Amino acid sequence: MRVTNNLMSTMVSKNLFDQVEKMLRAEEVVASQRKIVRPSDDPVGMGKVLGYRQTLTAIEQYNLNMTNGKNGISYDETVLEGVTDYLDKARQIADTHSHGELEDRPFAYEEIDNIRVQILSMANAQLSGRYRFSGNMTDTTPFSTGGEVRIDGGVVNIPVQYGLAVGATDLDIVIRDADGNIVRTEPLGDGVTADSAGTEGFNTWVWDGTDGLGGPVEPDGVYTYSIENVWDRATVVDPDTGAPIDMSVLTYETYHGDAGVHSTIVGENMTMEISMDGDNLFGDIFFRLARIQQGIDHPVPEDGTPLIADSVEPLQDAIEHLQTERTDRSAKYNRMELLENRWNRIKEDVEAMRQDTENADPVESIIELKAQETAYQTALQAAAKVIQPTLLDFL
Amino acid sequence: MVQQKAIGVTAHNLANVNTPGFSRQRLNISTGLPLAMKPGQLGSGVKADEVERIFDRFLVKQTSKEQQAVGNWEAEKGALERVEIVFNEAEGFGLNEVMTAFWDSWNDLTNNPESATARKVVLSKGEDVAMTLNTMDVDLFEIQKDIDVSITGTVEDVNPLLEQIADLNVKISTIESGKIHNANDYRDDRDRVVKELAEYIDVNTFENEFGQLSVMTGYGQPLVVNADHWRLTTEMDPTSGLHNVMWQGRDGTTMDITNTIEEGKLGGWIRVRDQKIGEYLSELDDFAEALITDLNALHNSGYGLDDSTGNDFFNGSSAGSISVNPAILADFNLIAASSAAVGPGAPGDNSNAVAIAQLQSALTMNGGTSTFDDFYSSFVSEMANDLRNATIRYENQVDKLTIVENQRESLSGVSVDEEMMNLVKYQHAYQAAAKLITATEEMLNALVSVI
Repeated sequence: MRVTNNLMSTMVSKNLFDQVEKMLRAEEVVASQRKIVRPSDDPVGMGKVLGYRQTLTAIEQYNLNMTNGKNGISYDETVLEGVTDYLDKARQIADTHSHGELEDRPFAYEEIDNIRVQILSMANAQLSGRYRFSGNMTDTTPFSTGGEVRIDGGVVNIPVQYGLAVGATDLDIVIRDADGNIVRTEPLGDGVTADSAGTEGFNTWVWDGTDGLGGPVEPDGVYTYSIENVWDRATVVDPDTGAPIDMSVLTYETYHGDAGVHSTIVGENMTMEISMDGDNLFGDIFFRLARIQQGIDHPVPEDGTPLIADSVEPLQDAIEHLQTERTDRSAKYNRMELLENRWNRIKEDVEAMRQDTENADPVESIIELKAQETAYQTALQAAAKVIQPTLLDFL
Repeated sequence: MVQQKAIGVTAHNLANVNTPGFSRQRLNISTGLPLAMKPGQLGSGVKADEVERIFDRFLVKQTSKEQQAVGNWEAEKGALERVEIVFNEAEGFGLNEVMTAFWDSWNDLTNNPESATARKVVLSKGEDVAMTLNTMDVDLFEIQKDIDVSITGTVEDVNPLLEQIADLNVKISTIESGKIHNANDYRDDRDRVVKELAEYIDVNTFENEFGQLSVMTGYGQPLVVNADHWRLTTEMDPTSGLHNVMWQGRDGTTMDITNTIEEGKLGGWIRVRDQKIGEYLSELDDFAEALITDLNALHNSGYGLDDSTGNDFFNGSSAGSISVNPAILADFNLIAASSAAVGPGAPGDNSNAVAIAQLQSALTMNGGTSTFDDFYSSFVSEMANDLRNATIRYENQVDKLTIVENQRESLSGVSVDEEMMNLVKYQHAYQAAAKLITATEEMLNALVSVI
């Protein structure tokens, strides 16, 4: 083939450029430690790498979620354990005094009162400023005798709930506005007879938002209600003996939260639900405790004993129920741990796949770079030798 | 004399050894007409026939064809390389990263629905998503505009070339009309101009018997016919703001030939600007639209911390217009983590946040067969594949063009060594002829001295 000077210089420089390009590519791989420096280097690989990255981040997030969930369960467990212990103590006391034991009743009363206060504060436990056992209404105190009602845009017919112990009579529901002014006083029962009583147990009354005297619906806002002895009419004295009856045993704390659950995302389209329902957990514990207190404090001890005896079995049930719930929760905790381990193993596998596709083997890439460098130098030398001589040198 | 001319041709070749597109010339010499003399035919020496240009017509056509393909793929590769930068995924700073961070923020919200920190992070990540989509959209439009500028610039460059060809046509046909001379250098010029033209736009060429070259576009629009040439212009399309390539007829009417240009740089650029980037923009919009619609559907039905409902999380309807609802930016309590099933007043409820977080793995794209992440990954893969394809074809075409050019160079190129040898050859012949004259002169002198 006839080779001209132009042909020679074109071919030599093209070969040099090709060699430089290979060397440059090898350098890129070494410098970035990645096989895929741009998406176009390996389109299919790039797609896969994006997928791997998504999976890895998702797994990290699931583990974060589960850590959060486990912390919640741990905290709850401490609370529930405490409640169970106290309940057990209360049950023992009740048991002791349900067989007609009449001594030490004042001490027993104090103890039960103390237990009730402790359990109440535990049931109203907060974590990070939010109530744990109020369902999803985490800004509402789960258990209280009174509560809050809200008028919003003139809504009427707000349910008001309260709990009554046995024998509570002539009490009133008192509704106050935000400034503490009494807005409504509603007697329990029919409010007519001198001895009107509400029903023992859980009660609901519906407030229509007015002051009960024919006035208009109260303006929007937050109102608090409580059960009180307003007109001093309540039976604070036992009719048979004339001895005073403690107000605190006439009402008991009712549940103001909802039945909400807290969902934790533990996997793709997988959630785990933890119940935050205080009603389910603590049920009618406060009712029973109030009853026991009433029984212990009854002016007529013999009449008080059946009240106490009545509540022993329910307390036992409540303790067992708590135990069941605790077991359930700890099972969920274990499940989360198992899932975490599983995710971590999957994460290792996916990470290995990602590195395989995306990362360059450092040794291999350096060897390649060296090889290309050598090839380049050889090509340069060859080019120098070839380009220079012409016939002119010899003429 | 003939030898002198031969040396002249050799000198011309040597001088043009580095001229691009030069075809070496050769003086064809043949014996002179014999004279009829007494003993028989007596040769009358040598005469120069013509200066012949060594070239291969087929190779010229091949070069033109390969050049068009090279221009085409070079343009597409260059433009797509800029598109690749918009995606920025290899480093890990692209939309993929931003989306995973966004879904993560919703997950964190499910763990702590009342937390102000978690809510602020959701807003911040949402803004990142909107901003990234906006930027990608803007960048793609910018690339379109830049390609547009290249297109208009190239059309400006094409017209002078057409004029040159018409000019050369006249010169060549004038010189060669007598059938005596060859317009060798002009033909080289014309071939060179046609090759440059082929880089820009697809052309077909025909030469008539007068040596005039007609040039048509690939589609058939005449660009140069003999001594006449037409012009190409560009016209801006009011809706897209981009330019169309127009062919201008004699009477000033224009014809839109944008969609008929298939090869050459113009072909590559037009294809990327209109088709490819159009596709990418539309896919990006599909992504944004689906995200906005699906997220808002869930968010609207949920309740915020302030018990408000019916709020959109994202405003806008496309990649360019997506933004976080300013009402929510102003008050993060509007983020609806709580769902309709639970209703207002339950700040601890995270069921709506859970539903939104799980959108990440929901089959929302491609008619319900892919997730957001899948869609985007395959989108990036598709774009990368387009670029890789263009790169491979470009490299392939360059190789093909190089082979054809090398063949042309091999045939028509100047070899300094060869020319030097020719120089020596003609110089010896000249010296011999000069010696003849000296010998003749001596013989005449001898004759004269006798007298």
